[in-house]
Amino acid sequence: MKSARHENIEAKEAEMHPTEFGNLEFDRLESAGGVEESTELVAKTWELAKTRNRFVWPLLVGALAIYFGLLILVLSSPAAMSQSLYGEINIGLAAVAAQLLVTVAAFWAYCTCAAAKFDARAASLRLHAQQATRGVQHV
Amino acid sequence: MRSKLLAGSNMSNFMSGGGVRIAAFAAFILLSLLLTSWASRRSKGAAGFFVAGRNLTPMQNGLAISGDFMSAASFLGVTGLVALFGFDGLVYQVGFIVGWLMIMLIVAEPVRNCGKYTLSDVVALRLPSASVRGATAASSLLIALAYLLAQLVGAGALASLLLPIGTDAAVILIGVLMIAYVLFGGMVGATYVQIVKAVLVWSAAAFLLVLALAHFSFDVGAMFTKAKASSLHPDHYLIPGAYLKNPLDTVSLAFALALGTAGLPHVMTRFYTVPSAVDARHSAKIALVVMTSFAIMVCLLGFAACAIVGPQSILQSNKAGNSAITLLAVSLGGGVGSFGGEMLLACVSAIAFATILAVVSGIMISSASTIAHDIFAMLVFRNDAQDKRQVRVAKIATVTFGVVAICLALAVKSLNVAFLVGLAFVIAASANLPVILMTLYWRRFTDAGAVAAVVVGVLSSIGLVLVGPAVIGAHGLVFKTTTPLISLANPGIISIPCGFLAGWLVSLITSQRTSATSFEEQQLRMLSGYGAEEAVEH
Repeated sequence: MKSARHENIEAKEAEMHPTEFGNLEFDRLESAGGVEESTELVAKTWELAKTRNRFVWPLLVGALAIYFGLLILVLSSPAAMSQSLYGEINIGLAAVAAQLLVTVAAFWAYCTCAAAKFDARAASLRLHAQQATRGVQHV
Repeated sequence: MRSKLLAGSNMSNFMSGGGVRIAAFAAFILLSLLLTSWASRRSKGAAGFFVAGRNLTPMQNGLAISGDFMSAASFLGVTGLVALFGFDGLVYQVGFIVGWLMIMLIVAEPVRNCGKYTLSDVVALRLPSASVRGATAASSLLIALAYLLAQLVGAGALASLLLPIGTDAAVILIGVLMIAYVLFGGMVGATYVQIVKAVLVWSAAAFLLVLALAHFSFDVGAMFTKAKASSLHPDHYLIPGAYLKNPLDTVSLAFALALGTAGLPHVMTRFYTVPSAVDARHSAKIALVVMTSFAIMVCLLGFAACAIVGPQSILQSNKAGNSAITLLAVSLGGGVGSFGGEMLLACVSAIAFATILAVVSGIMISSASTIAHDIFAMLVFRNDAQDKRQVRVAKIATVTFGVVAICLALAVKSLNVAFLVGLAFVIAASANLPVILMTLYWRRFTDAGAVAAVVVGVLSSIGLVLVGPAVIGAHGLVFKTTTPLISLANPGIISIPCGFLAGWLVSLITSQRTSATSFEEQQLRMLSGYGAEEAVEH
């Protein structure tokens, strides 16, 4: 696990353009000899960004795809939509209900996942960043 | 009761139905003004005025956000659409809900962490140039103006249905009250009005729905059957095509609604009013519960109106169907002239009017912060530090922008400006959304790319609407005998890709020289909240 993470960090560093480190916060860290601190912070940030993006974007694109798919389906064959499922509830009404359900489910999934996985890591990242700058100020 | 009497226009009028409605509306104004003046003591400095000191609870903010969604267009418009056209009303309503998904998943929390008062602040973190701020501020103001005009003109048109006052008087009354709330209460004031209204309008919908369902002994199936039977076209009532005739246009509209909501400046500002990104998510959660339940209730009320009132009576009162809910209220209360009917009508009308008022106040405060913070503090004075001056400029901007909006609304009141809301969403999706998404998630995004996205997004949206059926042709405003150049009334399907493409292409061929914050640092702030604006202490 640890070695995999290390490889990950190295891969990130290789990706990054040297000038992209040239900003205030990281500059301050580097000039104070906190280069390692700085790269670790960047790596940690990227790790969280990647985990988050890998979850959130497919969820969003998936939910929107289902919404538009159902919409196009409903609009392209209006006659087929009148087929009854239960009493007056036909396929069209069920499709609209499904659109609403998918939206709510996607957001519910995001909230659950964010609370379980992202929030703690975000807080620890924030603490890390605060300690890093404080450490530099003390030097 | 005494205060209601005093607030009502006069004693004799009070006995008639119109008087009760005015009294109910006056009671709402009095209540919200009291709340505003009480709450505004909490707001100090620029952060207090623009974003309520970032001190609102997720519950308060969630209700305010859902209040933005529960507009008159939703309360009156959607019930009317469902009552008259059935299925297509549902398609329309769901489009508005889906738009919140993008906000909640990828925009709300990053914006809370990266921004200060406005949308331009989020972008300026990485792209601090004046041209980018100018461009995003201009597009935000344009969206706000289009939305505001549509609401004000709508208020005028609804006036005769709701309160016994004229069109002009209604526009001026709403406009002046909107200015007053923002001037005296700032964001706190605008938010409290929105919260009170959100609770009222949701409760009213729930109450009416219980009454309507009781009418059918709580048999929803029986209500659907009756609605279908009494509709103007029973065979087409529960399938698409009665209202949204051009499927491509409908998809294009859905595209703008699904993507545009995340680019609306007055929605964005709401996420700055809570202490942290996690609170932003919690407020979104509360908002979604309230909005979704309201959307379902409103659709059911539409079917109830069709079943109980009948489409003929609705069309007779208002061709667009906007009076469906008020007619339903009268009918459920015991019919025209009965005490119950008049009381219910009074409450529903006053709440509908309050809805317009709360929504325009929210738009007003976000426009005021764009003018005072983006244009004056950052571009003209180049100094963000002077809180007092920023608030003073914001107050002047509120009065000026408000008066301009009122005058414009009075000038165009006879035109059918329903397309303006669509225009606001299309610009938001084509100009603002590309800039927000590429700033937050794409490393290569540049100043020139941001300006290009805004310019192309705005021009393509407006241009395509101008040559489309909303402006040209038989159903348009001018050249009624010619055919429009494009058949799409909602050009989102063309203009949104244009905005994204422009931002992407121009970013690829240009490079970013100066940057206040690197992409890494922005990601750190966006994800962890490190360096994000803190809530103001009481």
